[in-house]
Amino acid sequence: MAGRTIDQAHLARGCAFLGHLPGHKAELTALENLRYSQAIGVPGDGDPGQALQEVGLAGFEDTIGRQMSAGQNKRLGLARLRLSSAPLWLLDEPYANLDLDGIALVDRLIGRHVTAGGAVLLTTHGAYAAPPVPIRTLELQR
Amino acid sequence: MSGTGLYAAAKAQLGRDLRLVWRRRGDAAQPVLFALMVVAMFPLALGSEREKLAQLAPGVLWVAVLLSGLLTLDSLYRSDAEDGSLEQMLMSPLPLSWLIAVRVGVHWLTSALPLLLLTPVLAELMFLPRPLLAPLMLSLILGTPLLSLIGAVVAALTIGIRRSGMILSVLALPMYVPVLVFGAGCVVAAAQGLPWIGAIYLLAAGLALAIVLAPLAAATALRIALT
Repeated sequence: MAGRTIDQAHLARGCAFLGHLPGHKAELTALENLRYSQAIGVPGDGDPGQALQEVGLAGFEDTIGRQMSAGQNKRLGLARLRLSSAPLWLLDEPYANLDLDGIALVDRLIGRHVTAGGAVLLTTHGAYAAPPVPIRTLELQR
Repeated sequence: MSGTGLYAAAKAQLGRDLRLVWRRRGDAAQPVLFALMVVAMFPLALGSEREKLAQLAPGVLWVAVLLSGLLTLDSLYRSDAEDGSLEQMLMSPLPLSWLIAVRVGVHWLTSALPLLLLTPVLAELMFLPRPLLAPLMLSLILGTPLLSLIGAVVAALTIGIRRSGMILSVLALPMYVPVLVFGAGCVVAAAQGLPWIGAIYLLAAGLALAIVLAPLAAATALRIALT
């Protein structure tokens, strides 16, 4: 990162990943999932309850993953990102399954992360990715 | 990585895995039920002659425990791979082998330990002579974690295959054979009045080796399978 060659260990220390799969257990509650991710992820000092509030999941602390919709599970994944202190976020289709509010939320989170000195690498099908930060676009074609 | 980070992660992993087992406790009872059924079938099939059953008991008990362990092996990483939790573990700054070691520990604790507690009852079903219970229990206490660790490596190797139940068994069984030979052999030797502690030492040595190497091998196999 920052122009240096990196190996696997460095990569793991500096990256947070959100993909198509939820990345948390359907049998555990939102808070339990976040606490676990926080313990094994890049250590940050955020509060899981507050992170849930920020992604619009206040009141779902004790709801298990299975009882949440796809969009809510995505928001839980975003809360996980929010709690990680990794400088680089790798996002695979972060806008999928989200409503307009959710899309604005992703943009807001990315905006704040980049303003704080982080970087985001994301893939998307839609053209609605418009976080308020400098963007470098790479168009992939078959 | 500092020691406290490792400790905290192990605690979190332990808590998560125990919670998961508790929320799916129906599945967790499966290995115990399976072993109980297998052992209960033998007296029905062979007749209830005390001497005959006692002679077969060490082998039957060991095979029942081994197969019931095999039954739960596929679930070790399957659900984590399907919901992306495994990707998150891979992306963790912590050593994957450490998380895997805790995962396997919980697997042993929840699938083999209840079975170990039930073993004296199963032994009674098979008329195993009382003095043989000590070598049986000792060989199982050392043998079952060894089976779990070997199984963890094989399950990691086959995680890329969607329906891996068959290939998993075919790959795991040859590696289980030495454990079975020494485990059951130890009890048979004790039954014949021969010294049996040698097999226990061998199992203990195998376990020590597997505790160190198996999590590393499993972690490497998972990385290969998922990248």
